[in-house]
Amino acid sequence: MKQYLQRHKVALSLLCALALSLVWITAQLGKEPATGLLQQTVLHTTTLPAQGIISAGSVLSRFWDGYIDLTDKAAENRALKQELTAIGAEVNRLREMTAENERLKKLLDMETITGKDSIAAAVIGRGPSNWYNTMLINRGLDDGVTRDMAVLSDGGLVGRVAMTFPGQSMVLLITDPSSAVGVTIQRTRENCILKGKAGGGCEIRYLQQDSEIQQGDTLVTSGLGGIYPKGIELARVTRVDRSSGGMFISAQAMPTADLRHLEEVMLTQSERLETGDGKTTQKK
Amino acid sequence: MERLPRRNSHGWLIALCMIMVPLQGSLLNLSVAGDLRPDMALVAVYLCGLKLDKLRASLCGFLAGLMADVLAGGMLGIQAFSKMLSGWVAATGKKRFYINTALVHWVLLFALSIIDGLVDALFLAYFYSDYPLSATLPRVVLPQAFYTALTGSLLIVASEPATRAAGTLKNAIVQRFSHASSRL
Repeated sequence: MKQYLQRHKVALSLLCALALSLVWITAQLGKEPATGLLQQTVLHTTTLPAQGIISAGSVLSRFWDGYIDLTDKAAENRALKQELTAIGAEVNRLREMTAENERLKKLLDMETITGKDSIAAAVIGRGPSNWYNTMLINRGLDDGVTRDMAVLSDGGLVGRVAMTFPGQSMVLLITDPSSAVGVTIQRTRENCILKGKAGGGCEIRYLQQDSEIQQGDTLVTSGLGGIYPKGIELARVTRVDRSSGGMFISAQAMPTADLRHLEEVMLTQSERLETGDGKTTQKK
Repeated sequence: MERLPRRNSHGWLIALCMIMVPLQGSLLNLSVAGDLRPDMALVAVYLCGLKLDKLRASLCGFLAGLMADVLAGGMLGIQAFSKMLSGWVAATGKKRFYINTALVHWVLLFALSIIDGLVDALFLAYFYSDYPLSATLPRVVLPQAFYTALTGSLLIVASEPATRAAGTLKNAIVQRFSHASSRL
């Protein structure tokens, strides 16, 4: 028996691990996403070093540029180049500031829709897996962030808060397969559901065959369901296929916000939301 | 007194597995069309499989997968199991298939990524209706395997001169030290 165990220890370990994984996964089914000590510890230990590595990378890159300058050029040339570099860096800094200013201005403009109690946050990372479309932001429970807050950017709706930790939150993007948003086609006022799709993009569900939807139509949130504010632009229709033969049209859409290059977002709670004309106030 | 030879623990590989996951979501966010990224954690697990025994490679895979589960906000245990299996497969298959060329790295990484992706896809399809295999296989598993194999094999081949240089430097330092200590 002992010899058998010794001989097959790797295979037995794998079998035990599979059994444990299944038990573990099954235990999580139907429950709220866990935000326990394990997740908090991993988040704390990984986000800080990751930010440190990014800073160290830029310091190293600057150091290397300085070294090339020192060895390559004559003193006068070097001084002139440094001056030019400084001016270039200043121009670049100003350009960055202008762009940031523009983005923040657009975000602030959203206050008419989101109310004054919204929380601004910076994106500090993306989910490392291709299976889930999530991102990490630098605001959490300590800043008043709660689960299911709507997340908006200057391009429109981005997603909702799926998990909250003391200093960070995990945002479920609208392109995640488990995300479903109640939407209205802006031109025809028809309601349907926008679901995320594995591999990116979104698909429109439960739209009847007699719908007048067209390629290029804008989708806005319907406000039904109570999580997302009403009237926020979130996607544009890219393909409509009426030949599926079923009861519903098959249609694809792409988010209006550039989800891959998000830097700042705004978080807001559905109950504080008002529409553009300031009439509706939804309660969750 | 004669010193016992030191065992090479390859601790840097375990560290690489752990650091690759958060880096993939920040500094190494190499997303292309369709929002897909190469699975750099799997590349690190593959390296572990080549250098370590089955049990250690499986453990590295488990740790990297668990970290990916936590940071992605998904169900804990799915990627932990698939990456652990990948580490075991890489460590088991190296004697039979491994030759140090870019093409072999590409083929092995592609096969490993397919196995890893299939396990994930099967788990997700079983537990969620949002991940049907008909959608995940062509849209996630195959492109991810192709992209991971391409990026991983290029990285491994490109990092070889640096690894060799580091080895030479280490040997030189060890020789210098042993020479100095014998003179003392």
